[in-house]
Amino acid sequence: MKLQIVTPEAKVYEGEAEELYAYGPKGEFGVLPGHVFYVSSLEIGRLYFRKGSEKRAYVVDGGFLVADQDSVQVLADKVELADQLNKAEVEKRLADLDKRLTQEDVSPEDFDKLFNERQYEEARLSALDV
Amino acid sequence: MATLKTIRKRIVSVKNTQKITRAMKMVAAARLRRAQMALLAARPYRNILESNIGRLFSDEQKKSHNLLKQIEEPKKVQLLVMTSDRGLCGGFNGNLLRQVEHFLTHEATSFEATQLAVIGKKGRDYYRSRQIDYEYLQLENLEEFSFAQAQVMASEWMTKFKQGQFERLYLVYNTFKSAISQVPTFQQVFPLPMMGEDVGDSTAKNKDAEKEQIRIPVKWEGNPEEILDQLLTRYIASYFYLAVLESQASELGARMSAMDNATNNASDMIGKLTLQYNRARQAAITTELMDIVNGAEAL
Repeated sequence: MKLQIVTPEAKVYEGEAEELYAYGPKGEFGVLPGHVFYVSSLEIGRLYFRKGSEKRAYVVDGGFLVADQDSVQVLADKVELADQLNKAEVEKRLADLDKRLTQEDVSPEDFDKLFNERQYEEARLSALDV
Repeated sequence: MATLKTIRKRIVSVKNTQKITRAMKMVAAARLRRAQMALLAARPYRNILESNIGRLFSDEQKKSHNLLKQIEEPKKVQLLVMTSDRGLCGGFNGNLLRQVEHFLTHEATSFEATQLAVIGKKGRDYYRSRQIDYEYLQLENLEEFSFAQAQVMASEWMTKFKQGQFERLYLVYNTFKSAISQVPTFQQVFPLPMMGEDVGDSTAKNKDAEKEQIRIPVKWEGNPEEILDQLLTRYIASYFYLAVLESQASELGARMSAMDNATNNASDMIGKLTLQYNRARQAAITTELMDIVNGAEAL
């Protein structure tokens, strides 16, 4: 199936893919060729696709996915290629955020912000596992 | 007749000007390449969004959604004119402002009110000196204008639209065709132009395709209305984003070709002045020789 991944500021990928996984409101889901006409919003999470034996993983920060018979279009707000990430650094940031989140004097707004950041770091980590 | 010294001075001065215009051309060319790349990278998102909105909204939704519903005879119209902060870019601002003038005197007569908002110092100065009412918007960091900035801008205008401050909004900017060609464009954003309307011959085909699409039921993950609304907000923001990028690339393109012309003109002028200088010098030598010869004969 034809896959297009775009963000408002760049075309990220255009080409063939045999299967694709992404994070929707109900968790991770997969898309194979011949899918029904399907629209989903995307949550913060990893997105990866396979073409032959080659796999490519991204971290997506919200957006949409539209799938039909023979094409998938990903309209992401922000996309990051997992290959450019450093696992040790991500883990360090994750541990750091955990420490700050468990402190007692965190205000609710800060907590939400940190929690989102943590989700993003987690998505990065899971993207690295692909 | 100009003396040798004044001609020499002029040549030096023209050469200095040429150095400046050449440098400006180089700078504009380098920045143009970046702006052009940003523009090309941003176009696919809008196109994909557009085709999806076209097939996801049903005909009824297109007629009833307040961002899509067409108003035949709007009373209050808003123009957002994108000019540049700096000059020395050929007809970039002039052409655009002339088009606006034309719009105001011809098409806007059927509206009760036409409000002007201006981006860029050149446009502001233009309307200020003509004492026309305008609203001046300052955009920070145009060089690295981000989609997030466009979203902020779009949502501000969307609020005004929903409050009924205007019934139609046009973005007025130069579309970048090439470094030597920029086309003034009026892009309607509120309400959004009908998708697939201005395609001309292919409309019939589009309609068939649309009907077929409608027969295929869509499976939604999440609330359809919410997703559609979010798609529309992004779609609108992408209009603002692209307009700024187009305008930016056009400005640099216009400046590059204007400075290229200026550099060539300077070369021509240097050529002419050098010719004049050589003639004057030859004339001086000839008179001097005549004096010497006459002096020698007199002895």
